[in-house]
Amino acid sequence: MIAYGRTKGSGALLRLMLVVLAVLGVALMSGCGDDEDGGGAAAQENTDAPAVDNSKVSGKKIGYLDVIEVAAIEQRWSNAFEFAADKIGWEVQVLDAAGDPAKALNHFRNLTNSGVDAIVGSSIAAEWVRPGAPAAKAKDIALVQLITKASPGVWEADIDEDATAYSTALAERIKEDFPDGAKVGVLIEGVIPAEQQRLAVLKEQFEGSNIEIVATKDIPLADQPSAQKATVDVMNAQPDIDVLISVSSVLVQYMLPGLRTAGKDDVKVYSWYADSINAKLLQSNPQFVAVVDSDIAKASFIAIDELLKRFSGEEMTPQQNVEVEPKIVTKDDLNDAIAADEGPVPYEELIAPFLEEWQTKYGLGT
Amino acid sequence: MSPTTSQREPAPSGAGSAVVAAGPAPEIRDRSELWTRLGRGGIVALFVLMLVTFSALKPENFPTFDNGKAILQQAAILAVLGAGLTVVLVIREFDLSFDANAALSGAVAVQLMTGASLPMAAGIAGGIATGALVGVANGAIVAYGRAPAFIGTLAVASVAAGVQSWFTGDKTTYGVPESYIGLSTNSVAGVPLYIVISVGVVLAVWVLLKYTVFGRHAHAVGSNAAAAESAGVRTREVRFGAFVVLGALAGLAGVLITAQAGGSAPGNAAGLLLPVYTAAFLGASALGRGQFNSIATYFGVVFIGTLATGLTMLQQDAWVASVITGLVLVGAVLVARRQ
Repeated sequence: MIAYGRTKGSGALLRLMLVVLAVLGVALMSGCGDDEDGGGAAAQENTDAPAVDNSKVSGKKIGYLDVIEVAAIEQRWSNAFEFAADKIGWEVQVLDAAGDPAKALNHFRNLTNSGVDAIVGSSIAAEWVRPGAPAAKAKDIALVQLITKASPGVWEADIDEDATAYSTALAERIKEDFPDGAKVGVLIEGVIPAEQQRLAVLKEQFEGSNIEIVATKDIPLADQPSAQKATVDVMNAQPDIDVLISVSSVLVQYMLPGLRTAGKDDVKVYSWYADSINAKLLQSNPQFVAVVDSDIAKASFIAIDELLKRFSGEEMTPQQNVEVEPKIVTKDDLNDAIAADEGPVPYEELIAPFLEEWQTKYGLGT
Repeated sequence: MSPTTSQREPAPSGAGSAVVAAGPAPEIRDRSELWTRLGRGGIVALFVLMLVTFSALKPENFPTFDNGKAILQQAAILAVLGAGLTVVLVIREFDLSFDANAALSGAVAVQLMTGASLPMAAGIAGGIATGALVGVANGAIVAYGRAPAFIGTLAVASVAAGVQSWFTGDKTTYGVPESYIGLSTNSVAGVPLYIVISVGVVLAVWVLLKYTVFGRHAHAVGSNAAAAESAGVRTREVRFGAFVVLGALAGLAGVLITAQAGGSAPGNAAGLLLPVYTAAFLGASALGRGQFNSIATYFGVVFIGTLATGLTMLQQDAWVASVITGLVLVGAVLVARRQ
């Protein structure tokens, strides 16, 4: 029931909640008001007439619902979304479900009643927020899902990662590293559909090869540190495992100490996404061999692109896979963008073509 | 965490009991009354201040019918658990297993429908029965085994989590019938079913504690277990029954959680202990004159929900909500102890 929110420049107001005198506070704060039109006004200064009426798309307020913000990879997408929204003068409120379906639904409802123009869910299963969807749709709030394939009925636009591309690239790398075959253990947060897809493709890719998945362990999203104990359990149950794959990018930090506890310093670890935490782990742990990553941060820009379509009266694309070029990242491939949690390709580079289009078509961006 | 002395403390004897029998000295009573009034007035005033502040800061969003409905919907699961916890708190005991119980019960309900392909009614009944069974275990350990509730219920929580892990294989399960999900989306005469269920449970527990023999005995056990036993109250049965009631309601909460989430997942009910205890103590301080009752607990649940919603609408950081909720809990407990 506790709100987990994050917005730029906020934080000071409610420090004094318990002692604030309502009338004075009301007068001051109401006077400040929301400058929702600021971005739009700036955008309207463009000299070339945009193809779409600028007023339809400017000054929007977006609620961004993160599945678990403590995960560095989730921050890559939310930061990218805020980065792009800032460029076009939109206001974003980021809320963290902290891996809790009930909290996700509460936040979804609160956003619905907060007057947002759209709610973007990052890896939020449709099942979690389905009870709140009718109220959001009744208010004509645009609903966009990012990164994970969602069940129908809630999200109007579903922007998925290309699980096949990622898992295929990683499976190929593991086959190369273990030409004589290997036994594989997998840790997964099964509540996230994207991770289920990744695992399904991995299994397909290993079929008929001498790589065999012999153990799979589901880790509670709200208790990621339990991955450490789960690693020990898996290794005790299957001591001949050669490779551990963390289908979630977050679990490696717990998996590695688990391997040390189990005394398995010869087991190799592979995972997803070179976020800032995994980058440090790649540098400092020889057991941690590689992750698969890409320019997936552009998914957030695609989400904004879809929202622009929706606000300007066009149809959104109901479902699309983000076309990415998977890249295997080892400790030798780390760069500044990865350290800044932007991924292998910097935001500025990724957003350039989007900004150009948004400026031309909608008169947004500087 | 008990707001008054534990019933496990020895009964007053000799001069001490004479003082108790004669009632507190006038000065002490006056101070107690002062705290009672401060507690009630202060927390209720804070709630009103909160409503006024949020409404003024977000006039277009906060004071709306939709938002009020959403706050009560969000409060539903906590309210069901809070009502059950109230019964256990009335007998001056604790239960640290009801979140694990809810998770297990919800998972059982889902498995019965998806794995065993049983109808929804069987799933719901199975979930509630599982919760009651966990309550039986708690009651047996605490009431008959005379184990401290803190340790006993913690142990049961661990067992419940282990059992859930075993029979679900730590896997996420979706695919429940649409009618089951409908529990969380349907309305009765325009009122969401979750609100109807939660208010119904709160009222039922209120009636149970106020107008039944069990309720009177529970209050007697909570006030002075030794005296109650001397008066012929079967204290062990009352304690046992209180844990079973909480267990069954935790089972119902598990059903509501999984219906809302459309399935079960490891850790589904994690993090429910603190807000439910906060609500119970807050309610007891604000409306219950230091005594627990389910309506007061419901007020506490709504208080927390309103605070969370308002802070979200004001776009506050997570730490602000955590700090304020923690301060409210500390304040409520301090006031309750004084009362």
